[in-house]
Amino acid sequence: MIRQAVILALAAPLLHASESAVDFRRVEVPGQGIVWDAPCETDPSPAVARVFWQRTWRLDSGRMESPWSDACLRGPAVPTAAVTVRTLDPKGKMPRTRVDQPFVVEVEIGGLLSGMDFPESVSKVLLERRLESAEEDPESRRILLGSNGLNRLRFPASGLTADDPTRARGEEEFIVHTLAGDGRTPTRIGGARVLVLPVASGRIVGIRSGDTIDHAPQLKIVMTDLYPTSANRLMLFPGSSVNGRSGKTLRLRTIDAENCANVSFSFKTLDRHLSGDGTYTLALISDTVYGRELLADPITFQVRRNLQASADTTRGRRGPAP
Amino acid sequence: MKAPRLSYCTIGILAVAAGAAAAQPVLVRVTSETIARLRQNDPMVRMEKPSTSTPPIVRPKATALTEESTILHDGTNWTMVPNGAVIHLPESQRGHINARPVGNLMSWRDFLAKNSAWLSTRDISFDQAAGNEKVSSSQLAEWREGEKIVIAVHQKGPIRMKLSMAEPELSQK
Repeated sequence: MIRQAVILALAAPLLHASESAVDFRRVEVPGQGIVWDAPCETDPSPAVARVFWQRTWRLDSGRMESPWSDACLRGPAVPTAAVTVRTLDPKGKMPRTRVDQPFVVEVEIGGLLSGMDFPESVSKVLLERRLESAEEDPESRRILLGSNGLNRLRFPASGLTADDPTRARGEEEFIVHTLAGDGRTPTRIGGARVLVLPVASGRIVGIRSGDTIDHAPQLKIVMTDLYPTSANRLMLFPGSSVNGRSGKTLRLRTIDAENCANVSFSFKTLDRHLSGDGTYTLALISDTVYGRELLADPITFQVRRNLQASADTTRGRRGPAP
Repeated sequence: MKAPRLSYCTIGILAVAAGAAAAQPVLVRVTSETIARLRQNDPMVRMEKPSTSTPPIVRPKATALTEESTILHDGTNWTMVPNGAVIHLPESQRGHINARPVGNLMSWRDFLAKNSAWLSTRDISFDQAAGNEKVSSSQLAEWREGEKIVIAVHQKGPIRMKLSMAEPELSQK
């Protein structure tokens, strides 16, 4: 008993320090001035029994100024829409993809009328694709959907743009709007976001393709926008090819973050890994959920020891490249 | 002691496994042209577009809940209720209202349970909240007795009272 009390007493500060998030659901009835913080455990529709505007927040003391995480118009005669974004990246706190990778948007619609010549306000909803690039102003593209049930759209790549399209980043939001609005009340009835990350890249500084060296220079390695959960390697291959060869990992950097990361470091011990004269290739390789990719063009170089002794007969470069 | 002999089949499997692990194919680098080609198959290009007569969408503002709420705090914890939900605010309890929120954020339910010594509620209907059903002056006077802060609720969730019912100075927020 005393031992349990001691354990609880020691644990108490830790329990108090780990604050959990609090959900708020605020319901407003347009035109009637009703503003109600509905319990989050149950659906407020039966209690409200009229069209209402619902917003939800998930907050803690560190994020008390965050905007709402979801908002939708609900109630009798208002269509329903649930939007889900599915990507090839199974991890991430929110759906996450890369600018060149496909993803699927599923829109489950209910409450539309069909079969007769109904007006658009009750027979269709509007799907808005909102592109929020880091470098550009937001752009909106819209289509109409007229079928209850699951509507699945497969996008082969993100629509975000940048000066270099492979470096585009930002968020896409897919929002469903009712067409039966009053011109004042928000028309959103469902939505979902996807984080879009750029393609990673890299550079090896200190040696160039075609160089002939007698001892290895100091290298500087720069890797940019490395994908979350990726494993990124500086590798050395015998010969002039990367594919179909067994290479040696000289340095490994793994990214354990929700967003992209930049890494740079110096590498001074290439000499230890050069087993003799011949052709070698250095490569920066990234393993992501999308496969194994080069971060830059590989660098193939020649090693010829004792270049000074043969300088009169050959024209190989000495030492590190400028 | 003799080393175990491996069959040719086992040797072949091991060789292939070692080679596959060491020589995983490397994908071609993505280019701008690749992305442009992929986007030609965008599904929204071929689907029905809204016409000029389609009603406009109305986009909601991305607001923080604190901008639309009255803060309640007990010195360690705090919570939020809709503006206009405070029916009665005794002078002695003014220190619990609308200070800068510091400390631990709690749900309304947990905060009420913890601070019932100075916090209480009165249950009202939607029609009363909207002002469609009047609350008698005697009822209102009863609600405004005592030294506890009184919050209007509906099904245990704080609810805004019609402007004339709520504490005037807080209702102007």
